[in-house]
Order: sequence, then C-alpha cells, then structure tokens
Amino acid sequence: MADPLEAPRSADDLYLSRSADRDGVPVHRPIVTGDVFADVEIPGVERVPGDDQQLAMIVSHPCSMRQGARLNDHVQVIRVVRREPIRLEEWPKRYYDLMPLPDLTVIVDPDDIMSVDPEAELAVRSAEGAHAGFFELRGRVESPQLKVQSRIACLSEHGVGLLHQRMTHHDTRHSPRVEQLVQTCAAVFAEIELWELWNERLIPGDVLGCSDKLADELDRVAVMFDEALSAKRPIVNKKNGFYTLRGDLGIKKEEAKARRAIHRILEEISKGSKKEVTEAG
Amino acid sequence: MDHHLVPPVPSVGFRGADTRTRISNAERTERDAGMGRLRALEHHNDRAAWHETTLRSLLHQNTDQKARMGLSELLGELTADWGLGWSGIAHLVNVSVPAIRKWRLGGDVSPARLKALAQLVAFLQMLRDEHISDPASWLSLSMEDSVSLEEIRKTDIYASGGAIALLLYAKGYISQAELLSCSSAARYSKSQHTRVVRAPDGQLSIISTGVEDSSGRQEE
Repeated sequence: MADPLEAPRSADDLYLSRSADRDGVPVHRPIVTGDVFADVEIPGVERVPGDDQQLAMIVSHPCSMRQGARLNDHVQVIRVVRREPIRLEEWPKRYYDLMPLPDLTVIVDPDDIMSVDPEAELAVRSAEGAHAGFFELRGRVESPQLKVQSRIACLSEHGVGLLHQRMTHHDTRHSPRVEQLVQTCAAVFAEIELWELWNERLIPGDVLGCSDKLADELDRVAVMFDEALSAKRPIVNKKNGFYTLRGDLGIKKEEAKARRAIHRILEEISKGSKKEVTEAG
Repeated sequence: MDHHLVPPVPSVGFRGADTRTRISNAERTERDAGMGRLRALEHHNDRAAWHETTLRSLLHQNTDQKARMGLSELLGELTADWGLGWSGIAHLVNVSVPAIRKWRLGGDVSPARLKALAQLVAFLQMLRDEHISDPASWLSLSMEDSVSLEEIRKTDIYASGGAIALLLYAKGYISQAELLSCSSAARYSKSQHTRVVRAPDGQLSIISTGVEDSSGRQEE
C-alpha cells in the first residue's frame, strides 16, 4: 500500500509567518494562496464546531486569482476550524478531506516550556494551536472581505504545494508531486516576494495604523509594481521583439536578471520619492 | 573495456629466441608505459587534490572577507546585486524561508549561518571571475545526466556541499560527468510517470513517480 501524500518536515516548514510569530504577519505581503484570515463569512458554508473565529484560507491558484495587480472580485476559500492535532507521520496516510494546520495560532517551542510536566504542557499547547482546513467547506468570498490586517497566517511556498496536493487528491484522487506543484507557482511567488519588498520600501510607516490609508497605499504601489512588470521592453538586436519583466520571472535563464532589474527600478523610485519628500519639506 | 594496469606474466613456451625477444620488448614497453601511466595518475591525483585544497582555501578566505559585510548587506547583495530570491537563498544555505524573513527583519543569525551566506556571495563572485556573466542564472540551470537522462540541479549540488566541485566544473577542470558522479544531489526523472496504487484509506489513488533520492531509490 503506497502513501499518496507528502508531509512537511515540521510545522515551521509549513508557514511563512503567523500572527503568533515575534514579528507577526506582515501587512506588506500581497494577498495570495494559503493566507488565513479571521472573521470571514463564506456564503453557502454552514457553521461547524470549532469555527468560532470564522477563519478561512485562500485556495484559489496563485496564477489565476489576479488580473494584473488587482485581486479578482471573488476568491475561493475553505473554512479553517480548531481540531485535535494531527501528527506529521499521519499526513500521508489519513485525513484526506482536510489540510492539517498544526500550531496555527500558538507556536509550540519545546525550549520555551518550563513546566514540571513538559510533555503534558506540550500536548496542551499543541492542542490549543491545532487547526485544519476542510475541503468540503469551500466557497467563494468577495475579495474586499479579506483585509491584510485580519490575516493571521501565510503558508510558505512548500506549504502551498502541500495544500494543492491534498486538495487535488481530495477532488480527483490524483496526487501530483509537491515539488512540481511548487515549480508551477514559482514565478508568481517570486513576484509576490518582490512586490512585498516594494510595499516595504514605498509605503510610509505612518499609514500602517490606519486601515483606509494603508489600503490606498497598497493599491498605489500595486499599480506602480504592475506597470513596471508588465511594461513591454525592446529586445536588443531584435526588431519588433519585446519582453516583460513579469514574463522573464518565469524563465529560469532570465529570472536573476529580471530580479536585478526590478530591484534597480525600486531603487530609482525610492530615490525619486525621497527627493520629492525633501523638496516638499 | 579491459584495462591491464599490471601486465600478465609472459608465456615463453617453445618460441624461438627471436620471437621471445620481440615479445619481451613489446611487453617491456607496455609495462613501462603502464608504470608511467600509474605514476602520472598518482601525480595527477596529487596535483588534483592540491588544487582542490588551494581552491577551498581561496573560497574560505573570500568567505571570511565577505562575512565582514554583515547580515543585511549580505542579503542585500544576494538579492539586489546577484538576483537571487528568498526561497533560492534559503535552499542554497539550507535554512527555511521564514528564517530568511526573520533575518531580514533584524533577527539574530548564528555565526555558522552568516558564514554560509558569506560563502554564497564569495562563490558567486568566484564564478563571475571565471567569466560566467550571470552566476545566479548559471546556478539555476539544470544539467542532464547523459546516461540516465535524469535532471540534476546545480543548486542541489551546491546545497549538498558541492561548491568546490562546481567551481572546478566552471573552471573546466572537471567534466560534467565527473561533477555528477561526485555529487550526492537529488536526481529527477524528466519523464512523467503515474501509477495507480491502493492508498491507506482502501481507495485507489494516482501518484506521480520518477523522483529519485540520492541513494538511487525510487520514491514510492
């Protein structure tokens, strides 16, 4: 009997960031597959035990959830509920109808446990943080419902690969390799990473506390970023030939060059912004 | 191919003296050539080992120099100047992507990890010194084993401790076959195979096969 599914090496391997992390979940990161939000109502999905926080995870594919910089009007999500922990070795063998989310809300570090009975406390803390996303509790929500401030976790690229593998297997009984699933999303994740960097550099710190202003700033940078990535650039020595940085991010041979170019554009914009601020001051 | 490093004992038998001498001379020449080859091989191996040692110390020296740059400078150089992404860096220095995120946000880094980052910068610089115009791109491209037709990634070779072998390959001192034979990096089948198997829940599943781990076992 073969195990069709894969497991992460540890819970930490699954997440890029969680609200329980020291630095929390960055508001600068663009919304993408595997993000978990609180207080999301999913039309057509009934209330179930353990859903008191109304958590929802985006499961739309990263390649198809945006038009340029703009999120589609709706994205697909699954309900995330509290449930007893699932051990990593059980991932490949059981629970095919869900995506385990260990330590989602509580980070369990054995080194931090000072109790007289560390085993018991470890179990209690693991139970507190354990959640799972149920594939049957799936629906589409309006994108404006998903606010970066209410995001409680982001999956890592490998985590998104595991999510896609389990979901595909649940829907079709076919289990593609996680490594290949990650490969298909690599260009979009590269874009998300660079976009986050642009947000960090170009959004003034004083708007972070104000939801509306932050949303406006995120939109402003999103447009700039999208313009830079989708601009048609002439290919040297090729008449009528052009390329885009977005396209090049998806070509292995060109990716590093495209990344450097995107960093350079950001550098120029940052300098321009600083100059504007200085002149205004 | 049948290599005789030590020549077989000549059979003298009832041959004439003239023939014996001719055979003996031919054998002596071959034996001398063989001994010469052994000495050359030994000499070559000594030279190769010495060359590797010097290359390793050069990499160490450059690494120590780069380590003085500090964490944020190193990360900045790897991303903005060399064009690597966070997940690429994480893979090459064997840490998680969240670890890189923590470092970017000012988290602590162990001396060993700082050295690994510095070594990556030094390694890329050494590749550029070998006239590889875009070392990050060069590193991201895969190679194909001409015998098994499997794909082997240079990034996997680097991550599994193959920096020196990659430098020797880039400098043209070893062939691709030699690089691949000394690497313990994973090999990926380029052909897609799927199999229908009985899953632990008793139902059938379609699974992808083809990836092999470093020990050559098929992943089940």
